[in-house]
Order: sequence, then structure tokens, then C-alpha cells
Amino acid sequence: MKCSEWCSKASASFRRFTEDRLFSRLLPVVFLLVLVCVFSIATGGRFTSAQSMKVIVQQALIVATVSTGACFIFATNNVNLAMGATTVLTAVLSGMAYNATNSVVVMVVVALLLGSVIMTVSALLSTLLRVRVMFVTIVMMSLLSAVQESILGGSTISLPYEMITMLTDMNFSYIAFGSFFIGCVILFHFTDVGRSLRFIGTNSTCAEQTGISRNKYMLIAFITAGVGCGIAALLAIVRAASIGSKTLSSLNMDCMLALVLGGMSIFGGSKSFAFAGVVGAVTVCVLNQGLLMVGVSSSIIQGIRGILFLILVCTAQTRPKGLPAPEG
Amino acid sequence: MFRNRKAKDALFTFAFPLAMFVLMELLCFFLKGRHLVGSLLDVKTLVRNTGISAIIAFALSFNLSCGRFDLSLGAQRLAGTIIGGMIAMELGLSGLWFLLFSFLCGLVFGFITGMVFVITRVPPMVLGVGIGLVWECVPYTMSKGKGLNLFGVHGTEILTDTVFTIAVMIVVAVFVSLIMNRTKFGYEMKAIQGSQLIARNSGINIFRHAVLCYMFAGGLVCVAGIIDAAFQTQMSSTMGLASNGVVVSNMFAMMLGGYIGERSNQATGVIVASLTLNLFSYGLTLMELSEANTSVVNQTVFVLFLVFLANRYYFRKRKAEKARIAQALEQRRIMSVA
Repeated sequence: MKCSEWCSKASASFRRFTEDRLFSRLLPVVFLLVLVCVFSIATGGRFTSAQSMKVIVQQALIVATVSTGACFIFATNNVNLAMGATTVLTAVLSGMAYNATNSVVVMVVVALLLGSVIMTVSALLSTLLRVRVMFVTIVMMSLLSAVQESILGGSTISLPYEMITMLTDMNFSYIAFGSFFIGCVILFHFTDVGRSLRFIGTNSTCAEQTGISRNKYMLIAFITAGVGCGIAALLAIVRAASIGSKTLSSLNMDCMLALVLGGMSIFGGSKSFAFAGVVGAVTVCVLNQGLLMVGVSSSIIQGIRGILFLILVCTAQTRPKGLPAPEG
Repeated sequence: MFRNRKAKDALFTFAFPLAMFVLMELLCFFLKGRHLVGSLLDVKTLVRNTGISAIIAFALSFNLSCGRFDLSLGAQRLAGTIIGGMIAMELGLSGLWFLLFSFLCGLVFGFITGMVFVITRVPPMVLGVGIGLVWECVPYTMSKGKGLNLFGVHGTEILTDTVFTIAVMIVVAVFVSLIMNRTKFGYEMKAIQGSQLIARNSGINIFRHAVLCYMFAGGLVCVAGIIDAAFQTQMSSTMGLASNGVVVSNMFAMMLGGYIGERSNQATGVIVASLTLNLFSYGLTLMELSEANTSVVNQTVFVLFLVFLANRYYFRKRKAEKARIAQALEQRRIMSVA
């Protein structure tokens, strides 16, 4: 057999293997395990200590919640860059609601409602008012950040220690995240909603001609993501007990990284899965914590994250023949 | 008739900055008791901001008009400006060389980004996140976190000159105008804007075109970067994709410029739009609105403009659709009678 023939056969088999759905779901998990092993060896076992693992889980919870919600939008072959800004603004306003009423219930209701309302506005802009999703998401990101800055100025919203302790003792973060995650997995994998969203992501025109309303399902996707933002805002309050202008400033970027590192298809569609956000969020936090423990500077960590992001995006996705179609 | 149409188009184009000037002048006068442009410093600030804003809007227009939003453009601006400036400073060169080296570095960063895009074919917004993270890291590491400091650097005064800013803006506008209207590149751009698939099937090399778009965008955004750095005497090296804010804030100028440019040309449209929006922002600042509040107002107006842009033919289309249905019903009635 000629060398060129052998090469083309090998490359075709490799492509088939990488395009396999099982591969795209297993690769992030394998990558995460490899990272844990490497950092464990590099730090002489310090990385896998109970304390270190606890820090990673706590850091990952917020990113995982936002990313799990974002999966619904990603599945429709759209990207939302305003998730981070929505979460922070929700955290600011629900913190203010608590300080005004001293009621945890009000705080929770405000967080969930506000997250959903902001995302509903984004969804309506892109569906009912027909503005391209790409523009909506960029403008909303800037607008929400500006609103947050306008409300906060240079100040910080602090919440009472007793309330935070009470919620921590109740394991509020784990319960809230667990409920949202289970709900999302059921909605995405075991109902018509998930199937329709994946269908829209695969082929929007075909889905619409089959009777699936793109506008309706986009609205559902955005509202689910908004609920995720609301819960993440509550988790941020419980974790930090204060919200300032720099709180969760890297959340948007972490969320995108988490989805890609978790194996979510960037083109949406049938290869999307709801637990990509969780796997990815843990990977992002493992990477941050591990590199810091090894002694890598924060600027280099950002570069490494960027390179890994690009490598994983390219490995786990099918390369289109033409250039990607315009977003939105 | 022709002359009349041209006059109408010119009136439409210049009505935007004029109307904005009058509006903000009235608001400033009645609310604050002062003029919008009261001193030479005001003129300089307006010219500088308009120049920087217009150049960034031109840079954005290369990719955005083809349906790509490059999220790494801010990082390219940061990397190209800081590294280009550092090279010029190391070589002991004067102001114009700073501009040239920044432009060249921007072209290189844009070229690499474009090549990565056509090789990987990852959606531009997703790719921009990964590439942006890497590009931000480069100047930070090279300058050891200090960024570019032009304070007291001999020869950089020319970059802060108002006439020089206007000259650079005009050169960029002429370059963009020529490249969009008088070259094969511009012809291909229009075809790709229509349909990428049809353009590709008709023999246009969409991959080469995309790389060129990224390259020009990178180069131009660094020109804006070095002028901005010279005015502020420094450019700090930021991380976490914070560099993107400057680019995103000029998206409105690009979109409004595209709309105004429909009656003239894109270059004029972008400059007029930048001037209009800078008059607006400057007026709001004079009315003692904080930077955050000004941004809220700006972005809200931008959202409304996007809604208008997406629906401006809605009623015309609905009317046409109604007429079509009426005609079809009439035809059916005639046929049934026959």
C-alpha cells in the first residue's frame, strides 16, 4: 500500500473517531482526569488534598451553574456573551433586595425573576424584534455591565454574616445547584424541549418546517439560562458575602471556557449535552488551581487556558468545509 | 433630478451631526448654562475621540459586515500597540515610527488570527475568546505587566497633534473607501455579504478574503491604539478580555455609519456617525453624567437603533404582502368567474 493512501486512510479513521459522539463526551472527562493526575504528581500530592478539592468544588459551582444554563443557548447554535453580566447585575440587585427587606425569600425570588427577565428581554429582542443574536448579546453585555457600574459606583454591597452562615450551614449552594442541574438534565435529555433545541441547532430551517417554533424554543432556552444566572448570583452572594465592581469579572470567559473544555459542541445541535458545563467548570478550576500551585504566574495561566481552549475546540469539533456561517 | 438627489443625500448625511450638535448645545445651554464647544480644548477632545472612534469602527467593519465579530480585536489592539511601541522605543525612533510599527504589529497579529480562523474554522466569536486570551498574555509578559509608557518620550508629540489625528483619519477613510469601492477585494466583500456559499461557488477565495479582513482590522485597530496611547501617555496591559471594551463601545459608530453610508459611502458614514456619537457622549459628560450613566444611555440608544434597523422595512413588507394576497384573491375570483 502506498504511503499516501495509508495516510489518507489513517486520517479518515482518526476523523471518524473524533467525530464520534462518545469520543466528544469522553474526551473532556479523560482530559480532566489527566490534569488531576499531572497536578497531583507535580505538587507531590498537595493538589488532591481535601482542602484543595473543597476550594475547587466551591469555585466550580458558580461557573457550572451558569454554564449548564448556557448549554441550552449553545445547543441552538447561538452564543450568549451576556451571561456573566446578567449574573453580576442579578447578584447586585438581589443583594440590595435583601438589605432592604431582610428576607431571604425575597432575595431568592428577586434573583430568579431578574435573571429570567433579563434573559427574556434578550430573547425577545432576537426573536420578536428580529435583531441578530450576535448583536443582542454584545450590546446586552455592555449595557448590563454599565447598569451594574452605575448602580454600584465604587461601593460594595455587603450582606450580613448571620444570613450567609445560615445559608452555608443549610448547604444552600449544593442544594440549589443540584436541583437546577437535575432539572436541566431532565429538560435537555428527556423532554421535547431538549430535542427541539438540538434540532434547531442542527438545522434551524428544517426544524421550523417540521413545525418547531424557533421563537418559542429560543425563549425557553434563554429563560432557562436566566434561571441559571439567578441561581449563580445567589451562590456568589453566599460565597463572597459582598458584591463589588470586580466580583465575577471573569465569569463570562470562564463560562465559555467551561463549555468548550466540557465538550459542548460549539455548533450546537445533536452533539450537545447538558453536563458539559459541569465537567468544563471543574476542568477550568482544576487548571487554575493546579497551575497556581505549581507556581505558574497568572498571566501565563491565561495564555495556557487560551491555547488549551483552541486545541480542544479544534479536536472535538467537526471542521466545516466552508467558513462558519454568520452568527445569529 | 440627479443633482437634487445628491443634495438630498448630502443633507441626510450631515443632518445627523448637525441635529446632534443643536440638541446637545441646547441641553447644555439650558441645563448647565454653557456651550457644547466652548474652548479649543473641547475641539481637540472631540477631534481626538472622533478620530479614534472612526478608525476602530473602520476596523470593525471589515469583519462585521461579513457577519463575523472578532472578539480578539481588543487584544490585538493591546498587543500590537504595546509591542510596536516598545520596538520603536527600543530603537529610539520618533512618533511616526511608533505609528508604523504598531500598524505592522497589528497586521501580523491580524494575519495570525485570520490564519487560525481559516485553518480551524471555529465560529469567530468562540475563536476570539481563545485567541484573545493568548494575545493579552503576550504584551503583559513582554512588558512585565507595565504596558506602554509614552510619558516624556521624545518625538511622540506629533501623535497627539489634532491636525495629525485628522490627517490619519482621512488617510484611513481614503484607504477604506478605495479598497471597498475600487478593488477586487471590495467586489468580493459585497459578494460575500450577499451569500458566502454563492460567493465561494462562483470562484471567490473566501479564505484569502477572510485573512485579509482580519489583517486590515488588526492593523487599523493598532493605529487607533497608538494614537490613544499617545494622548493618554500610556497604555496599560489588561487581562481577562477587558481589552475588548474599547472595541465593543465603537460598534454603534460602525452600525450607524453603515446606515448613514447607504446614502453616501461607508467611509463618510462612519466618520459622520463617530462625530455624531461623540457629540452625544461629550454633551452627556458636560451635563455631569458619570461615565457609567453615559454608557447606559449610549447602549440603550444603540439597542433602540438595532431594533429600528432590523424592522425598518417591516411595514413596507407587510403592505407589499397584503397587496400580493389581495392580487392573488382577485385572480382567483376572476378565474372562478371564468
